[in-house]
Amino acid sequence: MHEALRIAVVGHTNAGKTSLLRTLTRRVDFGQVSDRPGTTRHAEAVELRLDGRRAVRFVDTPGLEDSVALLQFLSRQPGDSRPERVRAFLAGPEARASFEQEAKVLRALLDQADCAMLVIDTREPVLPKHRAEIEILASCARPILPVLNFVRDGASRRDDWHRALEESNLHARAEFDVVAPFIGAEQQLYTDLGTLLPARRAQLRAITAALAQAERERRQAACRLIASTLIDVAAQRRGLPADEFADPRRQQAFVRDFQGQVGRHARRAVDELLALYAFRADDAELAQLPLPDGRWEDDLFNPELLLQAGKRLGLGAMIGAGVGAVADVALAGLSLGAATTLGATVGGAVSGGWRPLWRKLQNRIDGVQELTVEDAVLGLLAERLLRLARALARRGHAAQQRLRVGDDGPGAAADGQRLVDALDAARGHPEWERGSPGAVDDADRAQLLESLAAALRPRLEPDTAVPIGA
Amino acid sequence: MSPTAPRRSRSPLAAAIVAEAVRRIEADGPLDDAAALAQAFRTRPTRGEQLLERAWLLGQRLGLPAQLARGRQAGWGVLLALALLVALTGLGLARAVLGEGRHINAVAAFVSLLGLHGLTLALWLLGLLLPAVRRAGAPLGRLALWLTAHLPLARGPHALTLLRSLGAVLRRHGLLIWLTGAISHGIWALAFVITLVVLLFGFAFHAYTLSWESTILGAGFFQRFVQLSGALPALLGFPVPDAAAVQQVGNLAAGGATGISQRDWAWWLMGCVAVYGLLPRALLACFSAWRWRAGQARLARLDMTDPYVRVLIARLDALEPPPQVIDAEQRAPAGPAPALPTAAPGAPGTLAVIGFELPPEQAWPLPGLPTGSTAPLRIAGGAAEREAALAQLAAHRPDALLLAVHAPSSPDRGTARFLREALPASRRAAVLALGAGGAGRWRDWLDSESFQAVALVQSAPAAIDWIASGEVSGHA
Repeated sequence: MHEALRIAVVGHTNAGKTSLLRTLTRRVDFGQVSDRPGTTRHAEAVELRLDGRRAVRFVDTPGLEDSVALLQFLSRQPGDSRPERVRAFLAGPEARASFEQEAKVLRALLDQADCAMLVIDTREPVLPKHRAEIEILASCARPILPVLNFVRDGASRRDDWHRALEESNLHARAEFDVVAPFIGAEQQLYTDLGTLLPARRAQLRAITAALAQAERERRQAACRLIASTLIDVAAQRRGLPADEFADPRRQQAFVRDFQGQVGRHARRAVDELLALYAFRADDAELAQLPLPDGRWEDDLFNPELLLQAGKRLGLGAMIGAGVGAVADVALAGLSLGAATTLGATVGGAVSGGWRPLWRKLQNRIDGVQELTVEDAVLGLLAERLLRLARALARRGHAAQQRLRVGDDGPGAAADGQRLVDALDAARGHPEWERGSPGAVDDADRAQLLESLAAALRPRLEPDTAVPIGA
Repeated sequence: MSPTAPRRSRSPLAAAIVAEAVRRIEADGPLDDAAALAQAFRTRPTRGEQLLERAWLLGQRLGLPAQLARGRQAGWGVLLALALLVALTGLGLARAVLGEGRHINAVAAFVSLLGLHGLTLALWLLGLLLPAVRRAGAPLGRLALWLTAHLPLARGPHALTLLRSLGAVLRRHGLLIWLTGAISHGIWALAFVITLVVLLFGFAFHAYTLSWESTILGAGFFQRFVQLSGALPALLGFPVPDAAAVQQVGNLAAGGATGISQRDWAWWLMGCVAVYGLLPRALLACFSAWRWRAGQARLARLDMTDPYVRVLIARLDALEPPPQVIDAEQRAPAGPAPALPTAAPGAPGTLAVIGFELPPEQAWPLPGLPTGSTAPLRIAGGAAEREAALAQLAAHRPDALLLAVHAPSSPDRGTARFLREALPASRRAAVLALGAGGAGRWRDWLDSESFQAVALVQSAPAAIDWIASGEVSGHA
């Protein structure tokens, strides 16, 4: 195992260095981000750990602000080569006075880093101060990867910057929007770094692979998480006795309570998605689901319920018949298969295959009304959670605005119906709702969850092509 | 507790089962795991291993590994008991075949000895193709596992949880069919060994008469049947009754059959039981056991996409050391306080306009602004330009200095340096922030850099007002 790669993140003040690090390390709370100049005034090391192992050690540095004067000052320093002049400057008194902030950057680059990522706000015009910055950084004789930020902004002067970088002999570059990165842009960044650090290429490849793996895992986890919530909501079923049903006020209160529970399931999914993508609990919200009154169900002949009863009866009968068959054999066929038949009957009855159906029948006799969630709500919830997951996957950890998933765009209905049909199985299983009394997480629920997650998966696949710098 | 004992019992399977059981127990409410989580974080390198370690530590507190070890021992007992049971069935079969009558219907014996086995074997093979059955596993093996968990001597508070965890873990890795298969086939193989011993014993020390009888089938059918079924055992050296022998014993219950042909019949029956019963079961038991062993390495891998696992990973991530300041901020000693007029002020009404670090598309000179007493100067910020601009200011000493900047750009210390050096040359100064947005940031910055005396204007008319106001106060 190599030592962790050391990267200094440098750039002009307010170019987005700390934001880049927040996104690359997936830490929403790293450093301080604001549009005030000189927000970061110290050098701070932060690690990127992949699967618990140190992969990269980043050093966040203050912005270079007074580069024109520093470049002049550096040229007056003693020394035969540029790095020597930088060292002479760092040893001198001005490194602690007027150029204290710049000295931190150069010290970090010389002593703490294998290479530098130069963050550039491409909305800025290319000015002499920027050229001076590049020249000063180049004096440290470390490979520099320019990272072009805000390239998708309308005011981006990307082409000017391309030209300026080439004129400064920086031919490798990467594009990375720190607030709204492309999917896979992160991997591209490390791949680009490999062109500058040939000796570390294998290590960088391992990082890229681990990042891709982590991204796949997050995507799959998101699918399962959404699927589980959909099952919860589809399975949600509450009974209301006949006399309370007749009282409109109590019926209304009952429906409100029911809707509140649906909302809680949705909120839980949002919280879990935020945690999965390493955002804070209040970084996103789902608009209030339009909740109609739910559907009062009298599904004595719900196919899933019948299927379930049939399956249990069948299995019980099979086991019983097996026991009977052994008895038959032991009796050398004298019982003429009577034991097998008897066993099958007893087994079927013992397995309790009729119990859920019986409960239904009882409810019907007692006049208990059962409330479940409408198909439309399920479809809408699925759509919103999917869009939230997509948005979170594309969100940089430096984004400051709260994400809100609300009004629904087109494309919602396309495969929504298929999803709702698949959820029909859950409607016959009120015990599949997590957090409800008597909830069980059995193999059938797990299987439905897997197949739902697989159906959701294509909706979370990245479809945005990754633009490649250089 | 000695530290080595629990280590030894920690196979990948045990670790995976305990992890799954802890997860199931935590479904009812989280366990107090702060210490376990921290210890796992300290002692294991990767997230997967840390999660398994955490579960193991929690499991130890709940007594799961001990329970698992007890269940293992009980499992062997159950296996033996089940084998005995099936063997007894085999014995029953053999008894039915080698009944008191000393007269055996050879073909019926063939069917009753191998029929049930053939049926269950066919079902198992069919099950390999059906995913639903694959996940459920072989019934006999499932029965063995179920009995183990329900046995009174192995019972503990978490016995059922452990059994369900075993099922879930094996199902997830597609190993349940192989474990239950190994158990089922093992039991059947044992039963066939016992059956063969009993048959051998019976044939060795009793004189039986083997024959066939039928109401509707002819001798030709039995000849073909015996020949076909005997072909494989014949390869292993078992004798097969020839056509004549079949013809001879057919429908002649009482007599006629020679001792030699009876011996052939007996060997044929035993050969068939060995080749069609014992051999496939033993081979499948070995195959299942091999697949089971090969699959155990997979068990150490956790499913990282499980939401429960993701929550724990997030908590482990939170244990990572926080970012560390390696070069702390040292407030630079405050720069020389910028004083506006130091030398004699310039002539009243004179104005200098300087465009500082403006974007290339900015029109210059600024439309709608007086050009001032000297030609409006525009500098991109290079060192030579700065010096030239400062020299010009020093030479002309304007009454008012208007510095036009690009508002959306961030102010920096380079700008501050220029401003500080330019201010002494004029009596009063203003910054004109051009472009949309960012003006508030410039005002804050001017204040924080102790340029409170410098005015900030945001448009050309406002700049003209500012120039005019200065003239009024200048004359007053």
